[in-house]
Amino acid sequence: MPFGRKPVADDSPLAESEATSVAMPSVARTTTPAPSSTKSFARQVLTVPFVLANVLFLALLAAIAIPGKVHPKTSVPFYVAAAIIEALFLWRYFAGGRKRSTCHIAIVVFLLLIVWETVSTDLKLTHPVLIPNPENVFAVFPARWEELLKNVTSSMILLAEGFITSLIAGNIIGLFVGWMPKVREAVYPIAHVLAPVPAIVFAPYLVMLLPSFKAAAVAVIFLGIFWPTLLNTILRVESLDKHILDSARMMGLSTPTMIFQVLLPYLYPTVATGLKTQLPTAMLMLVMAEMYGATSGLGYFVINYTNYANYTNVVAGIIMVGIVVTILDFLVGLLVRKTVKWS
Amino acid sequence: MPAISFKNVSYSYVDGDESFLALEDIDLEIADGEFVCLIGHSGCGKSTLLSLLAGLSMPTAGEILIDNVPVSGPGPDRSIVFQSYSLFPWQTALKNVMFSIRQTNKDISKEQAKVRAMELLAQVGMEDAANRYPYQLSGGMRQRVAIARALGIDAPTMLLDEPFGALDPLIRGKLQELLLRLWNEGEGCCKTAVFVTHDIDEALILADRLIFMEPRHITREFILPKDRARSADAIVEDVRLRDVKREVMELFDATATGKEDC
Repeated sequence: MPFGRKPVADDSPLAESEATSVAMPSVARTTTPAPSSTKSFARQVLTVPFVLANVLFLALLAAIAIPGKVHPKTSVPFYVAAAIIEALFLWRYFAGGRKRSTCHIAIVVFLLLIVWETVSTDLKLTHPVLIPNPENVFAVFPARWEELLKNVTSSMILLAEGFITSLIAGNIIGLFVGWMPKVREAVYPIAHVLAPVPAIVFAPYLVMLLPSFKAAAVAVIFLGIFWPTLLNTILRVESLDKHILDSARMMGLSTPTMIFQVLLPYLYPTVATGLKTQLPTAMLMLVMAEMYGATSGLGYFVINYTNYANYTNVVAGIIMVGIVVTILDFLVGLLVRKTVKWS
Repeated sequence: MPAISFKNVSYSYVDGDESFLALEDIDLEIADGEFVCLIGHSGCGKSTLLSLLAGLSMPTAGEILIDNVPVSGPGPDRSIVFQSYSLFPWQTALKNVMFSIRQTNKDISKEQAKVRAMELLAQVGMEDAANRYPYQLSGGMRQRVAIARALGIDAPTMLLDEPFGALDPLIRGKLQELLLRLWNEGEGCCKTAVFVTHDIDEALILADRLIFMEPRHITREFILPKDRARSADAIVEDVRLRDVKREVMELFDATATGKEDC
């Protein structure tokens, strides 16, 4: 029996597919059946990490409830935050895979919050101004939601402008440069030198140079994303499977057809995954840029309150940045999954 | 009148500062509707010869004529199937075949192209997998679709560069049968085929004529009997084929340069 396969008697290609069904992810991939019986529910719940995570959640609630040395005005927002974290944890645990790592994340998060709460509020071991207590930090969100929302919106507009223009420019220019060997030989080394220069070093200069802060921030994001995108696209065009492109060339395609109906769809998944890896960089550029001379935005929110030594708001602002990045990352991931049907 | 003729064709390529001669003064004529197999050790220039015929690279000297017109580049009068899986990964099997049909025949409507693509997929036994993406198909299935796509470019000449080289023997045998069936009674009928392989049995099953290449040159030709059975069994049973096989094996041994160990 060659290769240990079952002998295939009939001539249908489906017999081949049977032998190689492992190589067919979407066919072979089956979702785990929902836990319908109480028995499987018990098996999911009675695991050490899951129980530990929930015990820590209860311990956190207890730590908040215990009257400590510091008496914050209200603990309600902190309770709400803890409940949201627990709800997200339970949702991911029951709806998603990788249950163990979900538990581990929850354990670490709850532990950190317990330590924070204990040392700052309960025992007052830390400086009350430098290390704000969690009750006050989470209270910033309901109290200043309008201000936060305004700054988030302002940041998102800048991010969208800088990110989208740089991605379009980087990919389109990269496509043409990569497709033309002579241009590539000239442009690639230049891009290679310019790409690693951190765009943020231009920030103070660009703020001076450009007419508005907005333009400067967009320019910083653009510079931070454009060069790596250009570089990656050039490399990707170069490394596309020659035979796939030759198959297309044999059909006598025109250059626009070649670029828009072959190269672009072929490159799209890498463009989409590039989006995911470059989003944090763009966010970094944005927040850093906003720390110079901005009058709104998340970076401004943080730097402004740092200047006023209001570290409660500073920590709240930092958490807000984290939340925004996470949501954006989730949305981009969703977009990538919905639009990339192959590879 | 030969459909394809190579006239004093040479090809050299540059790697770094050195220039390598891959083909030297090749003269070859292939008749209309002939099934020709190019055979030889890897690196003997057989794939290069095919790529020149495809127009994907240009000869450094001499010229290649197809119906008396010099080849000036790739074009839809020839279709090609590669060894590596070269379907468009972003399109389903059906879309892959439809793309080749529509790009090479602008007059055809989308619906007509779809009907035609389904016909072709049915001929290669892939109609049930029409809506699958290449990554969801096994190697043999991908090559079936690749053949359907190549047939979708309704070209009089079909070039095959070790199309079954990556497949295991069982699947390989089935695809050889399929190819023969297409040539005898299906869509491939009356097409000229140039098939590159280093598998002697494959060449003996498929070809009308077998062309043996040593590095840079064509050294021997064998015209295979037309009245033979084209099957693996025939190679064992038919004395004429056994003789050819022995001669080709001797040529392989004689031209081996240590590469056979790879």
